[in-house]
Order: sequence, then structure tokens, then C-alpha cells
Amino acid sequence: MAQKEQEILVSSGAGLGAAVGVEGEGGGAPSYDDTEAVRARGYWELVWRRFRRDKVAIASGIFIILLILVAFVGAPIAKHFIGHGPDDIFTGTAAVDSVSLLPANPWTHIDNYYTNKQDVLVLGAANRLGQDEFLRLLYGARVSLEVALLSTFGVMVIGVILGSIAGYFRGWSDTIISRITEVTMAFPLLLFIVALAATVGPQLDNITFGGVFPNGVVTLVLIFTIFGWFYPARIMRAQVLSIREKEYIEAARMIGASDSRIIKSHVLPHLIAPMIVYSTLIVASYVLFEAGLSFLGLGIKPPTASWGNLLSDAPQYYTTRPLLMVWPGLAVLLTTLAFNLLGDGLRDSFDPRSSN
Amino acid sequence: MHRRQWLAVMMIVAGASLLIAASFASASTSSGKALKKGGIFRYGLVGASTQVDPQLAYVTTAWSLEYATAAKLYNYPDKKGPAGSKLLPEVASKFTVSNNGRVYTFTIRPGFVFSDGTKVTAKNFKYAIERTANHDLASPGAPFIIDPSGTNIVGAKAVNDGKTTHVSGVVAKGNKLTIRLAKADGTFMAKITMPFFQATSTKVPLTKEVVNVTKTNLPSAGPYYMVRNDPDRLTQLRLNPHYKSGPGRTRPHNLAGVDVSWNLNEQTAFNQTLANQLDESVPPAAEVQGVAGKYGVNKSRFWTQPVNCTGYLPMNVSRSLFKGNLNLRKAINYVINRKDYVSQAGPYAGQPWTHLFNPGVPGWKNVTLYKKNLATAKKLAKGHFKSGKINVGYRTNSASNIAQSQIVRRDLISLGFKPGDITMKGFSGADLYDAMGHRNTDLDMGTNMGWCSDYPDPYDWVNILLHGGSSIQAENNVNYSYFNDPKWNKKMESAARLVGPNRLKVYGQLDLDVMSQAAPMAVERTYNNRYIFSNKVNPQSLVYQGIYQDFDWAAIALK
Repeated sequence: MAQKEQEILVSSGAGLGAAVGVEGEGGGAPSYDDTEAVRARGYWELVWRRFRRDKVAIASGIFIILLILVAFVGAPIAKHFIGHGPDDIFTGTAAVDSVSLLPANPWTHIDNYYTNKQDVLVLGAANRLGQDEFLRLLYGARVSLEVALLSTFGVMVIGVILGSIAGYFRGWSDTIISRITEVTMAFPLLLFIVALAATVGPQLDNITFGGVFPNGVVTLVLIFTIFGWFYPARIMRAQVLSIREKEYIEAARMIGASDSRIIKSHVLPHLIAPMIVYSTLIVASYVLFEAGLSFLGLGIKPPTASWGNLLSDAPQYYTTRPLLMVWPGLAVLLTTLAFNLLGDGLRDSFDPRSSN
Repeated sequence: MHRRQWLAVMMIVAGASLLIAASFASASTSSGKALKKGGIFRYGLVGASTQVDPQLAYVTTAWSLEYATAAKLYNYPDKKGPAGSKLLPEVASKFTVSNNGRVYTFTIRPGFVFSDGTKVTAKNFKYAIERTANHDLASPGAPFIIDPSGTNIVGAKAVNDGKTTHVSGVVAKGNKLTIRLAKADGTFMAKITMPFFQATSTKVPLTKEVVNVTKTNLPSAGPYYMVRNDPDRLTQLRLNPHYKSGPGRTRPHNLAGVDVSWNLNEQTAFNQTLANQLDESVPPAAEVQGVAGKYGVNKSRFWTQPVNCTGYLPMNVSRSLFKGNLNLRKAINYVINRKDYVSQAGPYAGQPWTHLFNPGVPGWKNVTLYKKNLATAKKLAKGHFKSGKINVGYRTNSASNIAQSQIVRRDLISLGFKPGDITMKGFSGADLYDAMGHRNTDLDMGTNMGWCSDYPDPYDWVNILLHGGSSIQAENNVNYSYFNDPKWNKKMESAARLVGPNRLKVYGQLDLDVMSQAAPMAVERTYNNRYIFSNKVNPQSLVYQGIYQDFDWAAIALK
């Protein structure tokens, strides 16, 4: 029997990037009777199919999920089982040498004078106060992730809103937003942070929303958000400028759709891909920025643990306790690497021209 | 007779031989001690720079600079130990005191010349007193000359109140400087020897602080003068070209100059000193044991000396938390773990202490007023936390200071303060002193603070640090607790009037009484200085000047 011409069905509801797919049973040529309904793959399904082929991005994603679990769930559990907290000071115990002030090596048993029990310092002591390196690493992860994720959320919200308004409406709103963006870009952020730390920094650091966030997190999130939105705003503005000229926007306008409806239904969905990709990339930069500022004594300040202030304590022991530099350094390196690789993977996945 | 003549000849020959041998021995000893001239001594410091204006400089490092640059009426010689605390005439050749002990007349020698070539006259000392008393300049030296119970120069209070700019009780006429006191004061000579009262050029503005120094705007008449001061970066001293040996001008000046670099990283400065790129720095606490083992103590490159300083946490009684809150102040004295606090500074740092007079202060007593007792502390503090909020200042310039502030924070939490209610405010270098010295400071307490003797008398500890009265200014205060209790003020005034052994005895007891009964501060420690030197520094030239609590830069020589 001659093979009949196969019917090709095109999904009309597939949305952006809709592709055509035909699936049939293997073996002989299908007949009308045994042909399954041809199913078109959705946009997100295609993104997922492309993404899951990228093993490095998958591994990075898994690492990030584990890191989040470790930071927010594992840290309190570890604290409970170990028997002391990350900020507890253990001077006068085996955690610190009383003469040389050297922090203890990994797996040192100490007398916990808060509970009168014996505890173990898994990765040793972090500093001359005998604070637990392992717990401070875990709680430092929480601080780093909170700062990075909340700041990213903040800059994306502001950036997307202002970028969309500037790109869609153009005219005077574009002019005003673009000038504000330029002023923000030119702002000497580091000097501002130094000045802030020297003046109202301590008061701001005490804003914790009833202990929900560790000291200093809200300050950094606010600073990063206020001075970091300009980059996503510029990207989103450029995207919207291009989208607003598309035919489907024209069509929507012709059938009388309001601006808010056009933005909500036809502009914003097209911004999701760049938003996700850009977010993952700037999370990594904020992890680094937080660590850098804390290293300089301008970010998260003791006793709150952060990878940056763990790193700033470490150099004084670089010849005697080099691992104190390795642990937080490795944590920062792996986290930023994971977010960057995930971002790269997502960018490829969202790109329909991606070869894979 | 003949035999006697021979004997006489033999004796003469033996005597001459001894004389020749002695002269050779003397020559060889003096050549062994001969110190090299020239070279720049490079000193590296962590933290912000200090004030350099002679009437405003008032921390130990600043006074080390002043000691090298100042010419004073009388001065302490460049000698270690008790010999270094004996006052000797410098610019003044002599002084006379009137019978009632109220009028001092100094005779000014010729030959002292400022670094800009101007001659030093009596007017330069009058100007120093007027600058110190000046209302707008707000010198921390003012309380020393307007104290009704101590030194009170006639007319200085009016100047300090801003009513006039000339101190009526000081007259400069020809080579005579006359200073009239409101009443006799046995400590006057010690006070007038403080660097505030050095010969000051009239080119220095009366009411404005000299901050940035170029070669000519801060002349001085001592062995060195300041050629450059970039705050927080670099301060440079160079030889005063007009300082020539002569009567009163006997101070050593071996180096060609001193460069003080500020704001260095503690570890970096230490490493640079080990590598001989810097000549002196303070070793980080964690490195002290290592360098002490490697170089020995007080032998070659690592030196430690007790200093006449006491470390304490002032509790600001002008703010609501500690105002009228003796229980909380005492509770803090009981809760502070002094052993932990001192241990953060590493070996040879000092020892835990509970009252103001350290073993270097005349009249000191060896007692422990507060032993750590959490139960007692909590009992005392219960119901006395007021708002529960406390602002604590600390110094960020070394890992030790940061760790000590964390110890204090931990102890405050164990007392009952909530972690979220404790605001820790970091300050670089000596900036914490400036902040606590502002009358309207928002700090309730300061950590890593201390006081060093200005001159060897207990008045300098009790009355200067704790007498309220009229000495509290808008800024540059040193009564960091803002303690001002009429009952205690009266006791301090009575003690100040005493002389001799009874003065020391009364002051010694007053120290214990005020610390145990009023607790305006929580004393935590005594101090030792610890320094690492480069291998270029000649250890034989190191003179620890006890009055200035530091090695004397004018005496230092390089190899």
C-alpha cells in the first residue's frame, strides 16, 4: 500500500515559538486509523527539552536547590544536633589556643559552657573567638542567598516595570526614566556604601523584620535594589521597544485592547525568558558583591556569619590554618559558578535557534 | 732615697699606664655606643590618623609625634625608667614662684628657633595657652588650666567661655613669661609640660585646627618638625634645620626623619616590618607568640613594655540608659569577662583589671573590685534595662578590637540585653574617642578604649576623667562617661588640694570608692605595648619614654 501523505497539524494555540511535531508509532507506515493525534509541543516543553540536554546546567540547578535546602533547612537542623549556634563564642576552651589564639583544627571536641555538654567543631573554629566554622558556613550561605535572591527580585521588579514603561510608552516617560537610569549608573555606589556604613549603617543593620532576616541583610538588599535596577531596566526597555513594533501588538491595538492589557498579555510574556536568564546571572554577581563588601567590613558585620566575613578572618591564619580560607572561598566559587552555568543553560534553552 | 725615687717613677709610670688604658677603654665604649646619624624611620599604623595640631593632639601616638617636634618650657629627658620622668629646663632656663605659689615667672633662653627660622619668645608660650583655652578650638587641654580645684590660670575660663581671646593671667614681656594662677597648685609644672603648652608659632591660626600640613604651616621648635600631614595617609617629620646644640637644646636627633603611614592593614604592616620595608609596627595578636619565640623579648626586634594606661568601657551617664542607673552600671562590671577580653589581645598584652589606677599610677592599690558573677549581675540588672536598647562603639582597626567588642556583646546578651537591641558601631583608629568626646554622642558605651597618664599624678586619672563641673565641653571631652555627681566632684576637689603621701593615699582610696560605689565605667585591663622593629633599627637606641608610653623617636637610630 502506497504511503499516504501524512497530515500535518499545526497547533494554533501553541503560542510563542510554537513548533510542529509529529509523532507516530515506529515500524510501518501509519494509516489514518492507527495514527495518534499529532501533538504540538508547547513553548515551555521545548525549553525544558533543550534545558535537560544540558547536563552541566542540570547539575548546577541541582547544586543550587541543595544549597538552598542546606542553608534554610539544614543549618537549623545542624545547629540543633551540634548543640550550639553559629555566633556562640568559645574562648577559654579547646576551640582556641589561649596563647597563640589559633582556631582549633577540624573535628575538635570542646566543652560547651552554655550547655555543660561536649560538642564537636566539625570544620574547626572559624576565628579567635572559637566560633564554629561549619555552622557559620551554613548560616553564611543563608545570608548570601537571601541577599542575592532578594536583591535580584528587587532589581528585576523595578527594572521590568520602569523598562517596560519607558519602552512601551516612549515620549516623556522614556526620557525621564532614561535620565534617572543614567544618573543611577553614574552613582559612586562603593563610596556611598562606605559613607552609609560609617553613618546610619549600624541602625540599618538592626532592621531584621522581627528576626526574619539576619542583621545587615535588609540593608544590603535595599542598597543593591536601589542602585542595581538600571541594568535590567535598560535591557527590558530595549526588548519592549522591539516588541511594541510587532504585528500582533498592532493587531491587539486595532481590536481596541488597552495599553495595560497589551502589556500584560502580549509584552510581559515575551520578557519572561530574558528576565529568567538575566536573574540567574545577577544572582551570582550579588553573591560575589556581598562577599566582597563583607570582606571589606562594609557588608554583613560580625557576629552575623557571612562568607565574606569568614574570608576576612582567614588571612591572619593563612600559614597555620589555610583551610579557613578554602571553605568560604570554595562556597563562593561553587555558588557563583553554579548560578552562572545555570544562567548559560537557560539562555540556550530559551533560544529557539539553539542547535541542540 | 734613690730607691724611693725609683719607686716614685714606677708609680708615675703605672698611673700613666692606667690613665692611658682608661682613656682607651672609654674611647672604645663610647665608639661602641656611637649611633648612626641619618636615615628615615618608617612607622606603620593601623587605623585612622590622629590630630596633629599641637593644641588638639591628645592620644598616645599623637603625643609621640609632639614629643619629637615640641619645645617646651620644661621637658622630660630622653631617658628610660625613672630618669625619664624628671623635669628639666628646656626653653626656660629657670622659673621662680611667688610666695603664695600663685605666680610663676619663666625666663626664656635665646637660641630656640622654629623650623621656619622665627625665634622662640615668651609670646609663643602665651599663644599656646590662649589657643588651648580658646572656646572655638575646643582643645582637650582646656580642662587642665580652667579647673577651679586644680590648675586655674587667671582669665583662662573667660577665654574658654568665649568672652575674650586673651588670657589675662599670662603676660609675655621680653624674655619673661608670667603665669598667674587663681590659687596655688602643686601639679602646675607637670601640666604646663604637656604638649598643649609647647612653643607655638603665631602663624598657626588661633581658632582653626591645623589638619593638612605642608612644609610651612606648622612650624615647631623641637628637634623635628612636621613637613607633611595627609590625614589617614602619611605624616612626615624632618630634622628642624635650626635646632643646634646649645643650652636647653640637648635632645638627641639621630634620624633624618620619620614617616608615619596610617590606615595600614595590620597583617600587611607586620609582614612589611618583618621584610624590613617598614621599621616599626604593632604585631597582630596572633603573631606575638611567634615573634617573641623567634627574636626573644626586649632583645632585638620584638619589644614589649608596660604602659601607664588602663583600658575601660565608659558608660555614658548623660544618656537615658545609664543615667541614674547605678544597678545596671554595676551589673555590667560584674558580667564582663575580663579574662576573655584581655586574651583576645594575645600574649604580653596586659592583665585583667577592675579599677582605674594601674600599677604605674602613684597611689595604686592591688585589689579586685569585681569578680565575674553572672547571677549577681542579673540580679542587679533586673528591671533596670529601661528601653533595653544600647549603642556600643568599638574600634575596627584590628582583629583584637573587633573580637573584644564581640566578647562585650556576648556578655551584654548574657546579662539580658536582646541581640537585636544592641547596636554595635565601628570606628577606625582613634575616631571612637572623638565620637565619645562629643557631648551629644548617641553612644551609650565604648569598647577598646583606655586612658594613659598625661603626667605622673593621680589627679590626671580621677579628676580629669570623672570630674563633671564646668569642664564638659561641646566636643573633645575626655570624661567619656560624662560623670558629673556633686558628691563625687567635691571629693575629687578635696583630694586635689592635698599634697605629699596623703594625696596619693586619698586618691588611691577615691579610685576604689568611685569605681565600686558609682561605677561610671567598667575597667577591664592594664596594657603593655608590643612592637616589632625592622633589622635596620639599632636596638641600643631604643629608649622607652615612660611619660609618653612609647619609644622615643628622637632617640632612635638606624644601623
